[in-house]
Amino acid sequence: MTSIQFHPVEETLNLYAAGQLDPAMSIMVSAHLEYCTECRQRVHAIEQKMAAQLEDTQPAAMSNDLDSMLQMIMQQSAETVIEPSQPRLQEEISLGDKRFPLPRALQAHPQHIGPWGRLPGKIQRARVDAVSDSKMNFIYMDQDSALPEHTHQGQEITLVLAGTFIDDAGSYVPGDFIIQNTENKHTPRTAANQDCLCLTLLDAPLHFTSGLASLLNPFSQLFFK
Amino acid sequence: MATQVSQPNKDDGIALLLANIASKQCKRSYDTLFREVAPRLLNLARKQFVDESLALEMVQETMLKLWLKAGLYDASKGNAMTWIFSVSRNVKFDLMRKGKHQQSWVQGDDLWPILTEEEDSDKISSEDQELVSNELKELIERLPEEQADIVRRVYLHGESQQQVSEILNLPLGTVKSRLRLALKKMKEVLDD
Repeated sequence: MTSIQFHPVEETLNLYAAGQLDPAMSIMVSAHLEYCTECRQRVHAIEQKMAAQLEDTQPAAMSNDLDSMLQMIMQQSAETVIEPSQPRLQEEISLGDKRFPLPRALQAHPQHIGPWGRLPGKIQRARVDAVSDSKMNFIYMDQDSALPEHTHQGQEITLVLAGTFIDDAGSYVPGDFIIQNTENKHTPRTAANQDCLCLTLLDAPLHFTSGLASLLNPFSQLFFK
Repeated sequence: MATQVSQPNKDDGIALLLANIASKQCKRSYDTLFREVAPRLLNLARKQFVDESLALEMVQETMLKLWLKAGLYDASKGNAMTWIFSVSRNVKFDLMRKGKHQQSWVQGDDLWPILTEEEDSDKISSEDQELVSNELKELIERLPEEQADIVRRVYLHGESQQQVSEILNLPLGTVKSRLRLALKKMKEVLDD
């Protein structure tokens, strides 16, 4: 029985619960929480702590502003407030005849997920429209495939959504939240009978380190941005 | 385990206000809730928004949601104050990018879907029903009759909340809030 071993750090969860993490990172954390009961409980505990702080906050005076706000709100009803219609949720992402569950945070926004395109190796990639300065992609690795060895010029976060992949340091299962930076050199690959879908967040292009693949470097901006 | 909000009894009071707002748009309850929450929220918002008008907007958006959507608070999932905090956090998340040319299509409610109703919340599996009927019959007897009746119908007889609302001629929101209060009470007894 394999289980999730890689989690966001406590500080990330704190910022997430406070609503202060940037939108792209927030999507990554929210998707991790869908898989990870442990982090869900931690976030709930942080929210409780923040709610207690709200309770302990000194109240501002009931000013005219607040008084008129109170009166205005009580005149509203479900009939007077026009809400944007609930978007239809798309619960899956498909690739050929395969279907995978889509992280909930993206379900209302399928139009922001680009078409699949091929990358070197048996890798396919679908871009997610920019939500911050960093780049978000779905990466699909078919059975028995590998990405050339590379390092990262910035930080890369990989969240496994389905299947398993392996690198020099170990193997990763759905829900694993893997942070890599310039220190880490790795060669992600899948096993013969196992494919893998990940959501990745990258703040700089990959840098390929081995043999022929290093020829890709001038183009890595094109592939992995 | 998770830490409790410091004053659990006070939190019950807030839960009750939310239930009254949900079931009968009770203005007196909302007035009390507003005076309790809005001035604190405003001081918190002022720490996060330099612009006073944005701070007021955060309070107004949050307080309006509490007025319109109090019925979505689910006591079985946590404290009332924690829910209120979460509503305000979602509002803040969206406001932080407003007017900053940082267009973002991801909304707070995508990340923390606290204001959407779960579709399966009206049903409970037959296995659970049996557990409930065996172990909790006694607890149900100790509830106020108006709550006990609804708990029996939904959990022992398997009627949907919608059906109960039609049979008893009560608004669906009232059925839901009575059910929540009842379950919360029962849970407290069990936790003791």
